[in-house]
Amino acid sequence: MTVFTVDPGHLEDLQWRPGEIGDAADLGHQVWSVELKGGQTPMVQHGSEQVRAMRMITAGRLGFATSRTMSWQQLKEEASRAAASGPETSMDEPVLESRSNSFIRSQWDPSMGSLMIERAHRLYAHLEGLADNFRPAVSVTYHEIVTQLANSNGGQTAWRHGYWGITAGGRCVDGTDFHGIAETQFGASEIPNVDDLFNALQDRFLWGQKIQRVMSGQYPMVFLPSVVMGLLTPVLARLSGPALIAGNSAWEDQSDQRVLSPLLTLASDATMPDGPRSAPFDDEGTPTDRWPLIDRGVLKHFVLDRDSSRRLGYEPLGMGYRATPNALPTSLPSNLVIEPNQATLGELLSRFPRMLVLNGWIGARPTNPLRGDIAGNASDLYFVDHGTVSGRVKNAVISINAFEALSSQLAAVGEETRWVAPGMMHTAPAKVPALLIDSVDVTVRR
Amino acid sequence: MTSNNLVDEGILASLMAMAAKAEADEVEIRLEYNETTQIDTLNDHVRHQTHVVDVGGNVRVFLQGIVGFVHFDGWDNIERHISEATLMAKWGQHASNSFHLGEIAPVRAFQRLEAKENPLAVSLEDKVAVLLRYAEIARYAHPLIRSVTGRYFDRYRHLWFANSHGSAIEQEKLDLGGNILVVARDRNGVAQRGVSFGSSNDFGVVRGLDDAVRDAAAAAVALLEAPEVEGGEYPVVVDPHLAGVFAHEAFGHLSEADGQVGDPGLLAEMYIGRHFGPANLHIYDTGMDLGSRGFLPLDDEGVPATDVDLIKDGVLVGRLHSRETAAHLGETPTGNARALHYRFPPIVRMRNTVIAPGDTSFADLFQGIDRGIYAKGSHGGQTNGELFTFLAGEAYLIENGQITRPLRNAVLTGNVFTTLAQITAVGSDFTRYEGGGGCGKAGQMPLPVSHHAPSLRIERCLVGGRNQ
Repeated sequence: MTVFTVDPGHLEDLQWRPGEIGDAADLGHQVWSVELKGGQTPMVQHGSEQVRAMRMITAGRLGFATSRTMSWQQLKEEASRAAASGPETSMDEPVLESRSNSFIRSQWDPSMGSLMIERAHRLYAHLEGLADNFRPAVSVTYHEIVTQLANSNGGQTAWRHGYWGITAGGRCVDGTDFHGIAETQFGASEIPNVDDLFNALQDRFLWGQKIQRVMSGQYPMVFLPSVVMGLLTPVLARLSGPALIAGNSAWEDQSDQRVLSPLLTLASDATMPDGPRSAPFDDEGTPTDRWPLIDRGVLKHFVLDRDSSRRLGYEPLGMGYRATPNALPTSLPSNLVIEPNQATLGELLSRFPRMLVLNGWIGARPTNPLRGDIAGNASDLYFVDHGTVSGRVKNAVISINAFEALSSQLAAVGEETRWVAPGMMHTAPAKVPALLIDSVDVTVRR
Repeated sequence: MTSNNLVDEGILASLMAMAAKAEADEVEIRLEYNETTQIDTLNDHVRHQTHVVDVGGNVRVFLQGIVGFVHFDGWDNIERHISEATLMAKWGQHASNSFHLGEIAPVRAFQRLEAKENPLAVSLEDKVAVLLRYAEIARYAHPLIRSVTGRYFDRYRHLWFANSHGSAIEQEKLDLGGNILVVARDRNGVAQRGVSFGSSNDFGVVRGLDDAVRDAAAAAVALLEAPEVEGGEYPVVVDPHLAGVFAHEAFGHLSEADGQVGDPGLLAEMYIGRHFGPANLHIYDTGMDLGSRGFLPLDDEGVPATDVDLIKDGVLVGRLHSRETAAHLGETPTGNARALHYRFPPIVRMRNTVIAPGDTSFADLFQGIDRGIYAKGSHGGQTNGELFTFLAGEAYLIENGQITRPLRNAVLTGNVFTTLAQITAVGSDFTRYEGGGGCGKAGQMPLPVSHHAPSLRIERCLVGGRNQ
């Protein structure tokens, strides 16, 4: 039969001819996962991907080729051909330090699999105990990514990073009332503590046991970390290379100007020990660091890959990442971080006599990311009466403008930060605290 | 690479032999060759273009109530991957679950691609030229048009599937789509509107969009001055595009049986025979609509497609199944098990979700509405089963039965169960809408789906908004 073979050739075999400009990346991604869901057959999974990507610049045009089976030489030829009709580029190549990749070995050992299964079952059993009709869902994963880079400047470097993730939750359906809860935790150093995760889920479940009716109007609202990323999506749209190059960002000439609340400091941080994107280089080989994007409300840096940086006249800062292994690097932050402040969740909930807490926001994507208007059905919303959660609010739409929310309406920033995994609507991992936002519009079915 | 030089009689025979001798209750082996072209343009130039070939596969093993799943690049060492998937299943033997798969007769089939205009035969230069021409049309349409981005993709898949029950299937699939996004900007800010297209067999859908692009430019400019919608409950008329999204988000996902199994509370609500809408409401899901992005004559478990009535005459009559969920509920597999790529196991997904046409003319849908919303097009939607949200691409105020002025940021939400009961008219203007987006579930996105529908009138629809 026909066989497509993964070429075992090494990056060291790649030869660059004088005058060639380009880079090559070898990306090895492995994932192990355990998934348990009520009513479904448990699944244990292992996947491996080995992607090679080549960018070549010829006469100022960029050619890109990627494959899981081609040799480096074949890839180089395909990328060179693609450059002939490719986009104009201002990208240059960084000088890579020469670093042996001999120390890059997988951390995986079978005992980690046993640990994942044990944790998944323990968490599942805890969740089953919440209520007779609770349908639990638990997923435990470990990702390991080995990146090797070389470019026509002659350097080569490599690094490995791995991270755990646990997503757990479930729902009770009672009549047409769906009471769903979900939490995700992840970290690079060790498997997250499932007891802490369960306690958070149990608190949320108990909060929602009672239904609380509220009227339409404006309320102070605590946005818990899982929904804070919804507010940051429009901010990233204004900060990112494509919007700036297209002339669509209202912040194109706002460097060093106040654009958001002085309570808000937002950074792209590749130095965090527990960060899924923490690494010495971004996916283009540019050295990384912690870069403030918004510092106490003042715009400090844009999110730019090498091409966007050069086109716009900035020095590349290491914010070129692939959304998927097959994709070209593009303007994305490393780990996105909101600097925490001093307020505990209990203090945030005591700032106003009556307020709301939002943890789930269905379809809350901007109708116009650059303008920042967002509205969505609240799937996980609670009423707080004098600091005490008094019940779950249903049939409510939360409407907000992200830029106003993070400017004049931002009342406080929480002290405890949580990781939020990248998802369908946001393409960077984030570590963010809860935000207290005043005068949020809530429309409730009569 | 074209499909012809991939036809290899030996592949399926080899896979069947390997599946037959594996030591498991059931084994599936899938191999794929995927070829994807993607082009992104900005105004008058190409921003990105990629051509990607993926070759790989997966093995799914069912063993004593556990699934072991392994995916891999390349086609080497398939027997080793079968052993690894079996090991994965043995690893998970904490559980005491038993399992069953819905029985289907072994399927032997070769599903060849029948394209009207095959995008693989269209040069990259021609594809780029089409996108750039639309950008030129939009930019000339109004001086406030600030930028035009074009996105185009096509993806050819050639799949080989065999299982230990004797099914052996070779399939070619095609998916193509994209959009033209027009951004207007003035001192008030920015506004955007787009044109989307998609097909499973015809590059021709990319052509002939000149008027739609001009309309999008005009709509984007109009949105610059539009006030934000006032939040509240309104009678709403949704156009066929948005009605299709509504069917997909509000009811299609709820009908996916993997969300129902193991949930006694939900199964008590989703019982066959329950009344769900007006007597003329008919919603079904089909994989047999040639040319639509949801065309799927055989699913990724090798189950032949069927038309699945979900609501007929306003009554719940069916749900969407994989082999596992069908067995769990004692029903028949429906051909809805789909995997985005060989990196994923098949899960229950929609294909082409359809609301059948009713008998109310477009004009009559607005009769008697003193103050309401007319919503057109969609920026997408989401559901959690009970609740849904969808974002209208354009919205207009209805006053005294007439469409009067544009509004921005119209987000329509509601409870699935109550909203279906509030549909009071089904339009006669049935439209086959094929967009370039896709459906997301369990990390598998964007899966090609379609929705075909007429306009609908819904009473007391909850609309989000900051002005109250």
